[in-house]
Amino acid sequence: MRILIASSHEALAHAVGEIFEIEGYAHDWQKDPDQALAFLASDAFDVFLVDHEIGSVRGATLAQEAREAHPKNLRIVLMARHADIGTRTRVESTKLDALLAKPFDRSALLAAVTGEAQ
Amino acid sequence: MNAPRHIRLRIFGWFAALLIGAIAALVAGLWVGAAKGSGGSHSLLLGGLAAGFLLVGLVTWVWMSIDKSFAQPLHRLSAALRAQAQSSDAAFPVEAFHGLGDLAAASDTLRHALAATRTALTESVSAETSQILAERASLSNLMADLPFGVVLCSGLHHIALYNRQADVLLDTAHAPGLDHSIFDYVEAAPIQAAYDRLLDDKELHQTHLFLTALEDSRPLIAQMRLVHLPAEQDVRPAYILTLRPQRNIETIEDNDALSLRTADLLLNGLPTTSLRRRPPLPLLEPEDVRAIDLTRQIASRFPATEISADCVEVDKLETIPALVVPLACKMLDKLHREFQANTLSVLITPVDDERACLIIGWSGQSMRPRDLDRCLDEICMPDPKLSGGEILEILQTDAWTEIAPFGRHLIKLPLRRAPSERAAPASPKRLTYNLDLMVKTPAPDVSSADLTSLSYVVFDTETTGLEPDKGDEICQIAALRIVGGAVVENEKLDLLVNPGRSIPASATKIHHITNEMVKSAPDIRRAGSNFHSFARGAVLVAHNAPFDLAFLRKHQNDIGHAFDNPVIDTVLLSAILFGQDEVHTLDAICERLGITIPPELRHTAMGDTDATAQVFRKMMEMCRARGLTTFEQLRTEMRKHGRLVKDLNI
Repeated sequence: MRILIASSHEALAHAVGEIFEIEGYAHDWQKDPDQALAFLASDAFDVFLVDHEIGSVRGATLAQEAREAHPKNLRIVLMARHADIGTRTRVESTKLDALLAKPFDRSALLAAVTGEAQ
Repeated sequence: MNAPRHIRLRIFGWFAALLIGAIAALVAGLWVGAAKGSGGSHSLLLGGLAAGFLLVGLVTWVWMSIDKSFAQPLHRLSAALRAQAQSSDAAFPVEAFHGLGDLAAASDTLRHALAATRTALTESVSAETSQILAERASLSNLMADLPFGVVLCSGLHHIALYNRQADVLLDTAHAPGLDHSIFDYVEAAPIQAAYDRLLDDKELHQTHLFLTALEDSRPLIAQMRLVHLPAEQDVRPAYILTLRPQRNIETIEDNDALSLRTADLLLNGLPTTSLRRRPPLPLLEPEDVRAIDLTRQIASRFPATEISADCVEVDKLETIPALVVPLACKMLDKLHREFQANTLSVLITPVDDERACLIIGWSGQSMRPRDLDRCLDEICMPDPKLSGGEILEILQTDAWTEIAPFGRHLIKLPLRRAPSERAAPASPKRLTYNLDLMVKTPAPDVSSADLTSLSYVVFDTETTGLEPDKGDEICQIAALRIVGGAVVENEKLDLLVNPGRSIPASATKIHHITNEMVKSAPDIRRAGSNFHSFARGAVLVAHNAPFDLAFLRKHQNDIGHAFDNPVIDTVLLSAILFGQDEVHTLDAICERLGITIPPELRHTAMGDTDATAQVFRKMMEMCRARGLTTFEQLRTEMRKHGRLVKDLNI
């Protein structure tokens, strides 16, 4: 499984990346929203893990743009500061695959990324 | 003073009559045997049979006389005396004990003496404690008005106190309640970790600051401090939690880096040094306005649009957050000016029980998701000075664009629905507490639990009729909680329920609930779910419980929860205490115990619930006086009278 992490927070990206490393998932990290979209277009990723804050763009907006560009075959997970009704409704309405509310733990992260209960 | 002699004479008279009657029966038997028999053993047998029949009749008459004159009045007297022990207002019908002679008069004298002593004691205690009560009320008010949530929990993590702010904060899926687990509302792991660390800490009066989350994942900053109880209390220490929503105080800028529990920061507590301050958002009261106000404002500003025609759904929502109104107007302005939007429409429509959605639609130039983010950042409200993005943050929501059919474009903005149909407290909650819960020790199960240690939910329903199997439904549910033996004034549930059918006039005549009143009320699925949440972990108490439970249990599948709580029926308690042959209607028990139900409240769900709670509390005291102290003992006694109520799960 190949995962693209989009987050402007280096510490978060590294922590998540280390978990993926242990699980044996290939992963890349982008901190610029446009470069993340370009990366998605140029390479075959299975999962797009988007942080709620990435550069100047809202994570949910970037995730929505990614979904419009890749309606199928890409699992999109939004990491949000909290799962308020707005974020939850947006995830459902814009057909994202999962919402990962912070704080989260390893099993919640893996469940969101794989779509399977850990 | 002749009465005792009179009783003794009566007893002597009965036994003299028994003796004379026995002799007479024997003589009569022998005479019948001699007259009708043909002599020998046959005559003797006939005589014996005749005498035996006469003797049986005689003994039965004596037994019935003693039972009527002594046993029954004695039973009534003992029940009445027990009732008097609870209240001087309890009925004491002296004429019902006339067979007991002076005992009735002596008991009446004792009753009056007890009432006089009780009144004097009450007045004395009231005079002595009035200042203490006033001080306690002031302290309660101060604590209730603290600008952050305060929750006091036992070492078992059960809530023993919460203030108004905590009530507002924790009221997500379930309304907070005494003796409920704090983990029903707040994420367990950070609290347990903080508690364990404080227990391990050698230094007393240490506090611990950490990040946790509500059940709906909204983050909270919590501070915990142990409450050290006197050493003789062999229980785990209680603790005080202060809770604040994260957005209202110092925001953790690098929250994301700290967000993983795997990083061990959350579980081990968040060091205060890692909190960096950024200007906080203004602390705004979550003010609501009538949704129709949005329609009016928009209609007055955009008279040429289709808005007013499309706003019909607004009325169904009743209220929306006040901040939505100026935000929606600013967004419409921008759409109109910058995106040449025409045929604007605004719709507020319910999504589900919890959510509604404000949908702005237009024809014309499209708006990409990023354009909306930019617009929101550009929108600036003058007072208080807020951008559109900040308003969304305060409302804890989001907004985005979507493309709709027929060249239409949409902006969607979800809203939390006003909790108007949820379990509304009967009075504004202030400070709610029962400090005995701090030292409550756990019972292995309900059966062996002491009756005073259990939490009870007393409830009553009003219905469209008496036959749940033939389509009758609930149209009102009322319930209140009894914790530590006292009614929790702030924790009451009073819900009208849409029965999904018409209420017959005959039923309305009794409970005064009309079809109009329940038209916009929640259905049994929502109301039942609210009630289930309210009653979780408690023993259910009702008068003729199988009747009310039958209406609830037939909807269990729709509600999604089983009503399998332990049950106590006040009909059975009355049978235990006053005898099976007495009348066990709620009115009769109230009269017996000196409880007055105002006529206007009788046959209202809350009025009957309140009356049931009062009779329940008094009868529980009477049960204790009879040595029934555990739930199992009470259940065993109730089973003996099970024939009075069918289908009670005891």
